[in-house]
Amino acid sequence: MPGYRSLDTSMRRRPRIVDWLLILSICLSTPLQAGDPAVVAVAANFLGTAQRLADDFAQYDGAAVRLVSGSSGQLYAQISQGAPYDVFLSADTARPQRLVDAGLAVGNAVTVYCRGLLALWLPNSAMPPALQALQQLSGPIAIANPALAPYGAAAQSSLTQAGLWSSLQPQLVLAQNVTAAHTMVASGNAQAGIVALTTVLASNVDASEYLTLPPPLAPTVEQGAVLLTDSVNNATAAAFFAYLRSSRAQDIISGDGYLVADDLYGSDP
Amino acid sequence: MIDGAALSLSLQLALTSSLLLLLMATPLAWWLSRTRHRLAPLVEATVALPLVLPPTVLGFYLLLLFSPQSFIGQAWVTLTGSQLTFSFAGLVIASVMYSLPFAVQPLQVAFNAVDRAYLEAAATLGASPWDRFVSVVLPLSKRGYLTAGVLAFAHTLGEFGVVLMIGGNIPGETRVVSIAIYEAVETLDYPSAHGLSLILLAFSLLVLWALFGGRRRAEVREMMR
Repeated sequence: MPGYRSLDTSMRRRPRIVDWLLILSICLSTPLQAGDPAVVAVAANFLGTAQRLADDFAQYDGAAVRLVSGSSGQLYAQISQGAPYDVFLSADTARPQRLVDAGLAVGNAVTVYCRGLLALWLPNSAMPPALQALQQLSGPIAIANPALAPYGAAAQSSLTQAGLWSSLQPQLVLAQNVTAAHTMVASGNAQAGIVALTTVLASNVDASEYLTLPPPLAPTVEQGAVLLTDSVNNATAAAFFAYLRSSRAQDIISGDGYLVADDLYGSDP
Repeated sequence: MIDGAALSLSLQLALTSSLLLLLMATPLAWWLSRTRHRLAPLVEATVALPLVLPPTVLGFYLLLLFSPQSFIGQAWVTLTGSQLTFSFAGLVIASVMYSLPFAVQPLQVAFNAVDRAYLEAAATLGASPWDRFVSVVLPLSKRGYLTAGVLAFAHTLGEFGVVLMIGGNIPGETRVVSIAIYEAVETLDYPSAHGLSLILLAFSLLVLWALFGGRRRAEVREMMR
């Protein structure tokens, strides 16, 4: 029957198309530049700075790194499930430490590549920004959720230390991360917020509207990096990991409002 | 520990939103099913938008729209004395927008299926448009209402992205069960996450099972007739 015949030829032809697709995909996936490409998984709050670092690294080393961003928790979960990343720049030190403990990351300690500072942002107010000024507000005050985000935990300890944590409870709104807390203030939904200094600087907030909260007003948020075990032979990944601690990279990082290893506050572990 | 407050808040939100949705979707779906207006496809497309848009996009625009700095947000503050974002009322309005296609589309399908001959017969017997709708269209669209109600309810129950953006995680006000589960997972509190997820899963399965069971029985009844 003709029906059978046409079915038969189509069955025979199909593997051939698949073969061509396979060859094509292999050709396309072959890297054009020399050296191994490296994939850096970066916490969303650091993405802007990481992009500047990657651009500078490309000039300096000639090798390209590709950035993948997400929340530290998501990236951590992906790495534990075997995601093909080479370097992990987390927004905290606990998750990279877990990878070290599990043998998924190289070495026995986490490299602190920067320390994040908090800022109190009080826009559209006659009052100068100060922690005690928060008591005068009646509207919502945004922070990142302390249970989820290191910047939220730092904001909580800052408010606790100022004796405001319990009295501000009815007004506190919790965002899933520090960037979302920033958005709540920027959109006018929250009257004030304790957010990351870097996002305040990046969005050109007027200096009269925010107050930086260095220690002892608020703890800094240590952000840790690790080189993943499977990538130990990836030259680009190792070079980028070393570059993070170079003065060239640290200048870029501190230029964006982070503290770096040799800064005044806090000590290098 | 099971966050009972979050569970009951989610149920309240889903119930309130789906009742409001059935009320609002009825005239909209009826108009869409009868009109030949050239803008009708545009209205249909707008209603369907939440199916396509990522919830975070919707959430972001609602954050701007509900802000006390915007016209709508300001008007709400003037009217009610409270803010739309970070409030239960805000979540209800957001859910109604988010779940609108789930209520409108089944109703539209049901209304489309109503034979015009019945309506014309009722009209010749002197039934007013309202009487025709209540006595002819509504009974014939029962299954459409059931589907619309259940889908709107279930969709609101599982809503996450929008609430994450405009809720602010306030216990008893905006901390719904999906947010509580997310927080439990992110903090590696798997027992709580499992507990809440299992309850949500079992409940959703029961509701959908009842819906499909009911629909099947109705189909069988119609075939026997």
